[in-house]
Amino acid sequence: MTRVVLLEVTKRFGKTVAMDRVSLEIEEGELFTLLGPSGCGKTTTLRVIAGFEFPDEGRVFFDDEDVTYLKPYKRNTAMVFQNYALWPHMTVYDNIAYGLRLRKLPKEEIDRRVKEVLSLVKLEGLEKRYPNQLSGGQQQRVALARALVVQPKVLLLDEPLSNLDAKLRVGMREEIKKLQKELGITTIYVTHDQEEAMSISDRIAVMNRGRVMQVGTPRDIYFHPRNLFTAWFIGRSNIFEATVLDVEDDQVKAILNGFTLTGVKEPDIKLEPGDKVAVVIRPESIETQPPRTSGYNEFQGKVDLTMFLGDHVNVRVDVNGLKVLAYLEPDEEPSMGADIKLYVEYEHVRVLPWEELE
Amino acid sequence: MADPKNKRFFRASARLPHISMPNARVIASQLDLTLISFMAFPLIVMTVFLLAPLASTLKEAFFYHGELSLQWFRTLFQSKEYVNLQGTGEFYYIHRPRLAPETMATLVIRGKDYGIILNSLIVATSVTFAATTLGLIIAFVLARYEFPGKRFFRILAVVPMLVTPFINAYVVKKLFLEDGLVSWLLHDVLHILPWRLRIEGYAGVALAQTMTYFPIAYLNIYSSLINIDPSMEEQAENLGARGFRLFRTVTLPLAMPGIAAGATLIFIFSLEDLGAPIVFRGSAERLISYKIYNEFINMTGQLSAEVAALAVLLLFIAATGFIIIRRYVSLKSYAMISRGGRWKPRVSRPGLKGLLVIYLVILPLIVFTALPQFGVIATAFSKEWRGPLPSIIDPKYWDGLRPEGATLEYMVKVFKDPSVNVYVINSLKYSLAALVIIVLVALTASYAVSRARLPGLSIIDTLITLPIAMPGLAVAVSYVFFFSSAFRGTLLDPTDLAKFNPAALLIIAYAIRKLPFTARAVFAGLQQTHVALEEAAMNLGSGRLRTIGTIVLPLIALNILSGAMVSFIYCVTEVSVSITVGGIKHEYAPLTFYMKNAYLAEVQAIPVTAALGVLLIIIQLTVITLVTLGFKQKYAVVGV
Repeated sequence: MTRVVLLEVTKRFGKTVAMDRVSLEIEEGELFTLLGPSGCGKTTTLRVIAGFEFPDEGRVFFDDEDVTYLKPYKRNTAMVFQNYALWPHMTVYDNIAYGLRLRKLPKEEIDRRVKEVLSLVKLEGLEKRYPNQLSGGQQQRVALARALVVQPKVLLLDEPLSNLDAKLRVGMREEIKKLQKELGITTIYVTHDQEEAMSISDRIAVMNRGRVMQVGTPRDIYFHPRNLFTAWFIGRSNIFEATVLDVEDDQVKAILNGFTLTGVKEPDIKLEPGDKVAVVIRPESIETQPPRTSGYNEFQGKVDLTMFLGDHVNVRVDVNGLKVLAYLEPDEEPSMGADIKLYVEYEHVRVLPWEELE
Repeated sequence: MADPKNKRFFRASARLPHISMPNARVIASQLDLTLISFMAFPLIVMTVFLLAPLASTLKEAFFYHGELSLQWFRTLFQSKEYVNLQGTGEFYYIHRPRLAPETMATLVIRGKDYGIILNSLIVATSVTFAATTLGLIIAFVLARYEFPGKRFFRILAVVPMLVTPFINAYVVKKLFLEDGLVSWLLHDVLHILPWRLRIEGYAGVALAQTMTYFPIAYLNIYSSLINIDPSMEEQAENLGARGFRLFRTVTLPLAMPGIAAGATLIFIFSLEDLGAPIVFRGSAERLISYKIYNEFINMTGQLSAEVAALAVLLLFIAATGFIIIRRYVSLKSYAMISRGGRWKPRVSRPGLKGLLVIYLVILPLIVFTALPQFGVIATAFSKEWRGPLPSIIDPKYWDGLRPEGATLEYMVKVFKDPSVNVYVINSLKYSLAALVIIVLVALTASYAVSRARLPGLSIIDTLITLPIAMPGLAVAVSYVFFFSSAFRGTLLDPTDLAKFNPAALLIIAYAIRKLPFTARAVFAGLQQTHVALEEAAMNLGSGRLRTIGTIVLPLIALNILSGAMVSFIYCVTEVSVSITVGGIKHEYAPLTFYMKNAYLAEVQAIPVTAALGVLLIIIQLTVITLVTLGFKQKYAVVGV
């Protein structure tokens, strides 16, 4: 059980800053996910932890040991690579036994542990196969087994499911989560798929352009985004540029496109009247039934587009020229062009400092 | 990137001060003992055995009585022997022998003599142009058209690649004598020519070289052509481009990388070739290569500074040709932006007219260029060769079904006669020893270049590719200067005839010269092997050396082997260093030196040379078959 700490780590490739003062504390036994779009620095972060890259600045600790410049083969991490990196010239058995042989374990023990881990990942009987004789899912399990069998301090998973088809991916992520909880290994998971991140992680670090935007539990990140990038990247949102009119405690009144909205801000974010802000509203928090209590924003608009998606209907409403997306119940589907009233609770209107997104 | 404007932008931005150079700590962490030695080893080898000898030659050439001077070059350029702008002799003339002025009237084509330097330039340039054009035409026909017999002709088109030093040029010379096959066909049989025909001199050299080297262009262009995404040409057709316009505006520019690669190699090969000049000696001696060779033959004690200057000039011309052709192409080579995956190359069936052109022009051309190799084989099995055909295939010699003109005598001699065997064994020994160095340098250098992430590593890459652009004779000359001073009085000193043993020098020269072939193959193998495979091993606790041993080597073993086999062929057939440095002490001389001597010695020995040529063909065919079948590495032979 190992705690992993990154302190102000910066890594540059030429002029690109892949990691910009990244600080993270990953707790013992935690499944921690680095989430972000491609090029955000999440894989570099993982590779710095594995020792394949060395930071230009900053420190990396495993518990109290400074491993910043330690060679990868001295770290006792185990990584599952995106393309699995199974050695094509070795059988499944030899692939898995490789790390054990390096540790000079007796033959019987190697045998026992390979058998054990194969049953753990449900691949008994495939020892003699070569990687190219396995399906994608099986290869994935071999890669996982090869990493788990050495009982690493830290398990590193680099987009491990991205090469599997959609159905298999959902199944495997449940299995990975279950295995990780059983074994209790500190695990760092890299993905660009937010649904995967949400479903599997204890905590998530959202990254963008080499920086950590927010760290928190999946719920935290979804319901309490602390910056526009996180709000925009996680889930779907209506995002409008607005100007602060008035701030009272955490309640913010903002003006956009001629009408006033009331929303909330995080307690520690400072906003002043006149600040340019982003108003973020999740489509599922928009309702059409008149609320029974106070504390709701109300808009009037015209239905612009509807799309039936089975479990809900996407409805786009034109409100004074602003396009507002709402998810409604299937039986609430309005007709095109109809006048419609929308309601959003103050609590569900997040007001965040404005930033430019690409 | 294809847009030159972009390129400039790229350079401009690269000149901006770097926000960061990787700091020393990062660099140090990336290094380990294995990686450091993998960088140091090729650097040391190439510095000692390539750069240092070059430097000592440069020193010799650029110093005159102890002072920096261009005097030696001035001497060269002021002498009529080297540069003669008027030219002497006739490009062609009709020769009418006094005894039979009409029946034996012969059109002699030989080329004018413009002095040693210009002759070399003219020959190399015309060979490059002719061979590349020929290669382009044949590559286009074979890549784009489907017709019966195509497979056979594709094989036939690479037959000239089989190296048989001296003796193939001899066959070309025989074919174009006044009583040779071509003269007989054109004059006696078809009556196209009113005279007999003889090609000799510089024209003969150029002809022999064109026939030998065109497959280099053909193979490179062919692979360029089949790698063009068909949708590129389809799009052009779709917009209305057809025929030659399509070829000129789309196909040709996209095939440019192959054309340039081929042209570069041909230019350098032609420049340093000694086989054809030695065979056509008498009428084609005034070439840089022959001049340097001749200096070696007459070497007493030490080579003169004039030879150093000549070697530097040879190097300069080769490098200039290399750079011009590459530069021209880098402007014209385009990053192919296309969907992934393999496509079916465009092939069409020619119409009747097309078929006629293919069968009556293109295919006879291919057959014709392969004639020297068949001629070598026929010579080796023939009692004599008088008139158009060697006796084994000349109907005059057939007694019913008994080939009276055939003999196994020479082949038997090659395999049984100890006085011949010793040279074969010398060559095999030297080549195998060179191969050990080649594989070690290729492996360490390619690994370091492809895996270490340090600035400036491309120096190693440049160093191990450099020998491609270095004429062998320049290597030979520089080795004499370098080893006679740095290793004076040892067995490495070519000027100390008592102690000198050419074995070590030949091994080193072979290794350095033929290294690029293996290095390219190993490098390609490393690039195809995903780094993650090595990272996975290191991640599990394997150090670098062990990772290389257990993961990298098994995965690229076939690349190493196929590259090494190609290098081996080129070592065994090496001429430039073998017949100069290698000839200083006859008992240690390699096979090609013996072939040259046998060829020059006496008429009786020509079939022996041919029989040795057959031996070389057998070795090459074996290797090529193994490489092609075993490793699915087609055209590895010219994969540079």
